[in-house]
Amino acid sequence: MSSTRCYSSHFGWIVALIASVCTLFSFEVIAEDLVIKIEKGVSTALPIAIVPFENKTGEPLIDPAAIIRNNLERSGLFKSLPVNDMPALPSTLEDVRKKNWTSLGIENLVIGKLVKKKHGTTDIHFRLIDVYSGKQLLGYRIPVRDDDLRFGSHKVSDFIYEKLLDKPGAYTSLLAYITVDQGLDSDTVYRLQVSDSDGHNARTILQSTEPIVSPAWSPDGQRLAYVSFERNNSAIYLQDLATGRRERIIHGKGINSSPAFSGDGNKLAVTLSRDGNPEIYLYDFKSKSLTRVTRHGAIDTEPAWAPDGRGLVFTSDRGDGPQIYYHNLADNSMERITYNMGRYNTRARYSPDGRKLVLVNGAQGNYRIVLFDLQTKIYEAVTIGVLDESPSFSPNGAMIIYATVTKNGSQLAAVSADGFTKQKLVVQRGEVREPVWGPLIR
Amino acid sequence: MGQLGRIATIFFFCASGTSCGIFPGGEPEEVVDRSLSPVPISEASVETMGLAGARELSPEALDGRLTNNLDAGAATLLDTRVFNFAYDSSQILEKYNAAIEAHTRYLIKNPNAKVSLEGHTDERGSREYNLALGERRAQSLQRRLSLLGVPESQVSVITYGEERPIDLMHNEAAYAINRRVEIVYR
Repeated sequence: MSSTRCYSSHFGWIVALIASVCTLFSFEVIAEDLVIKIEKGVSTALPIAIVPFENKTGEPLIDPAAIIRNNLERSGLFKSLPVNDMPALPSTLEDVRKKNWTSLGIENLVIGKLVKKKHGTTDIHFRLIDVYSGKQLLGYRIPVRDDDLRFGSHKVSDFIYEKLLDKPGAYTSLLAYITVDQGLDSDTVYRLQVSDSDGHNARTILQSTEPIVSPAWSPDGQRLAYVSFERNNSAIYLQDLATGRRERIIHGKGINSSPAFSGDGNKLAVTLSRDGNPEIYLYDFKSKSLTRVTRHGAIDTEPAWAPDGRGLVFTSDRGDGPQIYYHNLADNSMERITYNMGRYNTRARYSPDGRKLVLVNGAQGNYRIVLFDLQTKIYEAVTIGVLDESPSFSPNGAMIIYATVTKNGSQLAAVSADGFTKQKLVVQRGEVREPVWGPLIR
Repeated sequence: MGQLGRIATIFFFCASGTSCGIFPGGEPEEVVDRSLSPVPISEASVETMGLAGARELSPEALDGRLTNNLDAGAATLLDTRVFNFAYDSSQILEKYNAAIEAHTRYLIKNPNAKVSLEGHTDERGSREYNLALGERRAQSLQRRLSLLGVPESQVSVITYGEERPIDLMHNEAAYAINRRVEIVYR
């Protein structure tokens, strides 16, 4: 009963009201988690031991150490010692015996414990220890709700990652993606979902019997823009994650698609074909006005902002086949980016440092993810799939996530930016596509 | 309640990067809370544009209008509702000329009849580019109907790109079936 009420089609403040009721009865929105499988690792990874956290709460709680271990392993940059090989399981500094670990080549040790604070909340204590010097590199207490222990564990992972690699971790950032359930006797169901960076905690934030495509995160990580066909044509929607409130912001004749937030969050680059064929426009959130960027009879679509905000790359087939172009917003000059890379190069996304593009390259019937260096113009394939698409960088630039078609339909995969570590993110039922990594929340 | 921004309210003991041996005291002000609220289902209509339904449509099903004026041959031609395309092409294949002319005649004789031309692509390549390619295919048929004299007001265009495949297999045969424009009578 309550689920039917929750999934009504009202809008505006009613939505906010219903959404808050739904929070209490949110059984419908818990979605099946993604399962991540590591396919390939590197031997040069940093050895680390993450000792099971001592649980002093007297309640059966998940062990943060297991989550942290998985997180760090998944980057391909850490090699964690299996629990069975651990010579001891210390949870305090005094219990750590240097020789136990140095003899195994372990330089970095993580210990911790769970302590009950008040009803419903738990403190995660953890310390990162340099075994050789015997010094503590990090030590924090992180208070979390009991049902948010996973998130607290991701926070610990971010601390360790940043401390040891001097780069921000992205474990607390979220993933958004689309799942598709092709019903044989029933309607196909499209779902926009959000999960933790490890695929757990999957939640459906929108469900429809019409296609949902092109999810895009706002830079503050609080909103998603996406394209929904729910009213029999593509239209661009903006949805607040916390309240669930949504608004149809751009709808017109023809295509309304490909939303991309500017870094300051003030503008949305979009593709609209209201003037006859697909062109790039900028939508200003304050004035709610549209400014046309491209003017060409060819297809112009898939805009992506350069991190410096001065321009956009986009896909256009004005030359030989679809290629990547750069539009300078200051002087409206245009430049073709992809040359001598075949006749199919689409959907480019910038690396967070702005030095590289990741894009889809089609050749001989294979569609692969290619990393393109904007300075050297050198490109390399980072996947070997046949039908790979929708690549984007993790917010710290360390991973590229994309969709790949397997015999079970579309699934997600991630590859480290150096190409060395690969992983698959799998759902048991249906397909999953168009992954986008949310921004770092600091 | 439940703003993602509260992630920032995690309480620290020592600044990141410093060494400290013990955990000083102090109560956290707020626990980490990042609950997302669920959202109502979208307004999507259950009515789908499934091809199976379209194929079943006979001239009689077109609101019963003017079916008397149609001979058997025209009826068969009007049954052609799906027009396939070559890879990365929006050029209408010659084999469809007779069928397109039959739809043209029907639409001219039935000024109240309206059609939606739905453009589709195969699944290869990027989704957004395919959305554009699907529109270009539908527009190609729209232009042809217009040249043959069908008033613009009777024809609308929509693209689904690769989102509505007929054949879910991942092979050339499936791709050829999925690259299409469907004429849907409204």
